[in-house]
Amino acid sequence: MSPNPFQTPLPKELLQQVGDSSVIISISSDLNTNLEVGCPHLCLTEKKLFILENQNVSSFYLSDIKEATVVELYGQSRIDLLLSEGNHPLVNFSRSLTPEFATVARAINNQIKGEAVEFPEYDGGANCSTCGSPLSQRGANCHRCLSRWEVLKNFFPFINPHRLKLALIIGCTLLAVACQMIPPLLERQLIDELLTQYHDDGFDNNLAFHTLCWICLGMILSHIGFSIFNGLANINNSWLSDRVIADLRARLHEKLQQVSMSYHNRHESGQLIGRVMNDTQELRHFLIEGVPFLLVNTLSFFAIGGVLFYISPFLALLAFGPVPLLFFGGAYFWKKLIPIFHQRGSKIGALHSVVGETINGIRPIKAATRQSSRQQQFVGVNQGYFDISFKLNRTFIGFFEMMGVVMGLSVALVWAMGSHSMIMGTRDISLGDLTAFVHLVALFHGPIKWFAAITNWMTHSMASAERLLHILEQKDEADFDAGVIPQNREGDLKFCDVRFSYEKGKEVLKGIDLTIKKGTMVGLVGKSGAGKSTIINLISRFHEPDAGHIEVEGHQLQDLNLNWWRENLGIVMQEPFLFQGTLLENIAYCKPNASFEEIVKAAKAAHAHDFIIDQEDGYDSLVGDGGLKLSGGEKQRIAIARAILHDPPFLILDEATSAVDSQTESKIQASIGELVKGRTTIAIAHRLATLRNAQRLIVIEDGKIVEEGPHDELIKMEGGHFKTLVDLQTKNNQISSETMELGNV
Amino acid sequence: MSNDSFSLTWKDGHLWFQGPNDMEAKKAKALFARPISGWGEEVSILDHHEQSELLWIESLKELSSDLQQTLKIALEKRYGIFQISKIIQSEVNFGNRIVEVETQQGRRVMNVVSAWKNVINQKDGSVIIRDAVGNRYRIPNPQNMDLHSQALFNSTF
Repeated sequence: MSPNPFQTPLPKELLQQVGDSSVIISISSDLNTNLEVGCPHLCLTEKKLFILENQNVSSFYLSDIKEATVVELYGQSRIDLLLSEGNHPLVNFSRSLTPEFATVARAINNQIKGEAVEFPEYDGGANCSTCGSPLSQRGANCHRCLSRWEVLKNFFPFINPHRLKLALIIGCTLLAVACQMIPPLLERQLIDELLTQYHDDGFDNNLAFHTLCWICLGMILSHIGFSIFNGLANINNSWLSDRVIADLRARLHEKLQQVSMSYHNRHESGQLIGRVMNDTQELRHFLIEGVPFLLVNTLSFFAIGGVLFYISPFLALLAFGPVPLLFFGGAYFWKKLIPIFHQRGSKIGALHSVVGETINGIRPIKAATRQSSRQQQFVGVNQGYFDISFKLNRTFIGFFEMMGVVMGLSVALVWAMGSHSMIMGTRDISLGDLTAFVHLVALFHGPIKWFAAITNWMTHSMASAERLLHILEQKDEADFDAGVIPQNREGDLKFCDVRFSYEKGKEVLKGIDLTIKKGTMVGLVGKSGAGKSTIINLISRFHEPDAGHIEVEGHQLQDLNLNWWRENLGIVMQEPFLFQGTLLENIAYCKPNASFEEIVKAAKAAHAHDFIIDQEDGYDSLVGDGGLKLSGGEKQRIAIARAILHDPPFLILDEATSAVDSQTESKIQASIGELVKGRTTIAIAHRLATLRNAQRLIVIEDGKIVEEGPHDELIKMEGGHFKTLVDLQTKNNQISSETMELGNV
Repeated sequence: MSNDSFSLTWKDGHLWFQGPNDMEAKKAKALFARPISGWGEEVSILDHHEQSELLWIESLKELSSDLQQTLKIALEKRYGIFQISKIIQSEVNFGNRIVEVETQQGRRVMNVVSAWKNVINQKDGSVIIRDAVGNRYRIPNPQNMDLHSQALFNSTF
């Protein structure tokens, strides 16, 4: 667990100054006033604020401070104090400490106002608490401290359910290896007992014939045995590899739906698709061709090695000659190859990203005739991938060829020294021993080659495992099944001093207090970037507030069962997404068991029925790729029908009618009027006139509520925020209609 | 706007802009229009509160030396990018490039992920690096670093 950064020990220069005052915050920064690496120290007490920098202590009475603000600079930030005599830059800090100092600024402000200082749950910070390395994201596992074995262990649960199958594969492979070892030993017997003895006196022809038959039978049976066991191992291995990879893909797909929205905001879809499709394949090599065979090859190595030593310890030493070379060579190559593998992974990410963007953006690309420049961009990235792949393969080929030479030398050496010993009679080696030995050496090279190749798989797989683990180790958005299911359906929705920032230090919502009574509709109004959509995102629990809380049915939203909440919340998005399937399936997406009658009723209420029925296949018309092409307005009407059918007690309309023409909108407004009756509804609409149905309008500006009240009251407030927005919009509408008229003339 | 029709001052850690006709001085901020692709070129002076543009400067050279000096201070305070002079060591762990560097501002350790989008080569030969938490680093010219740093740069990114 990381130490609390807000309670670091006070430097001695500050201890004296602070005296007996109780310390609320004591924290070190990482940049000094000149933006150089340093460690200024800030201390907040009940009455004063101290800052120590370069041995100098400055202090401020909180009563002299009006406000503390975080100023975002380029790649770093600063806390400024607003004093009666002006602004005072207090302390600089890098992005690594932005969330901590955003909390400090909030604490100073709370302390000035006499409010309790709240510390959010500490996420562990931007650096590893063990080794101090910067992390890939705050609170993430430190990949430097994580062992490779630990990484791979995360994937073993995918093999675990198939233990018996795995045992069968290992057993069959071991038996196949044993079968392979029999023929050289039989050859040895054949040569030493028959072929080199038949001219000797007392040679028993009958016994020899009998022995020959058994040796031949043994050879035939061992070859058949090898084929059977090897075939069984391969068939089961093939099944297991595909099964494990399919399970892993399914888990990744599930995980990608469970992770928070901020994870998706940070990662491009092309990259994630690449990980799910490519990296699982890469990992397959290691999990299936690597792990099970580790045991098999280790046993084979020792079993064959043992037999070699049994036949001739001297020749066995020659056969073992290349082993250290191959192990050390493998380790050397491993070290050299890892960065290249990562570079290749990076290039694949770039390739996926370019292809994904080209496909998704094909319309603007064609419209701007940017195909050739796009192609050039792809060719550049593609060439980068080609270069790194070739570099990788060239390195591998060099390694394997070198290994072949070393092994060939070892066989030649065995022949030479074995023959010399036999001819000179210096060692007790027979022709049968030598022949069997050479054949066994060839078998012995199998595990050695495997151990060398495993570096390839491991390097491949490690890079992939790392990327996959990055997805798997992400915290789930929430435990969907845990949490409270409210029994009392009061239906009120409350925001209590809610603060939120997408990037820590840049608050988007700055203390929202809002109560929406059961069954009423409120409209959120404000300029782009005011924070309207953020409010919607927080209600949907796509993000959690930094401070304050949201209350639903008398419970804090974060304590509610997320599945229950999402089932009770209907959302009509600005850009509705239709899934591949029929119109019927799309309307019934949130209520798959709805009757056809209910679906038609919902479609009629959303004014979608008429255009649906006009399609060749009516409600069975396919949408999406290769299917029906719907206009933006038609898509939105399908989404509204979906929400009507869903029938949730809470409803969010996020620019739900932005893509329809005025005529269609007036029709939909009537059905929305019906839809929102009795539901707690929050609506955002760019066209302010469309919020007339709302009982109350909330005007948001710069993350704060600046005005609220019924439409008719706000519109009369001369100089008010809402009135100004409406006037501006009316003026813009007039200009655009005049422009259109001029165009028609 | 001509040089004598406005003034820029640096006070209390902020840039202050005063326009023509004795307009009240406004707290402002100076921003590079293209901090990555056009470092040091066009600068926009924005109203600190309204976020509206007060002045557009094509090039610092078109300003008087006093104005240039003030603006340079404001830009230096905002764009405190770490200038890498040497790469001390680097290692790649699970896609995280942990790189210890010597910068003009002191020694730092950065974690760079997705190098293909966070290591940006500039037309002038410099390289901008964004680390995982958003700190920015600049290598004026990788070829001018010592051989050890160059080798680490090439093998890491």
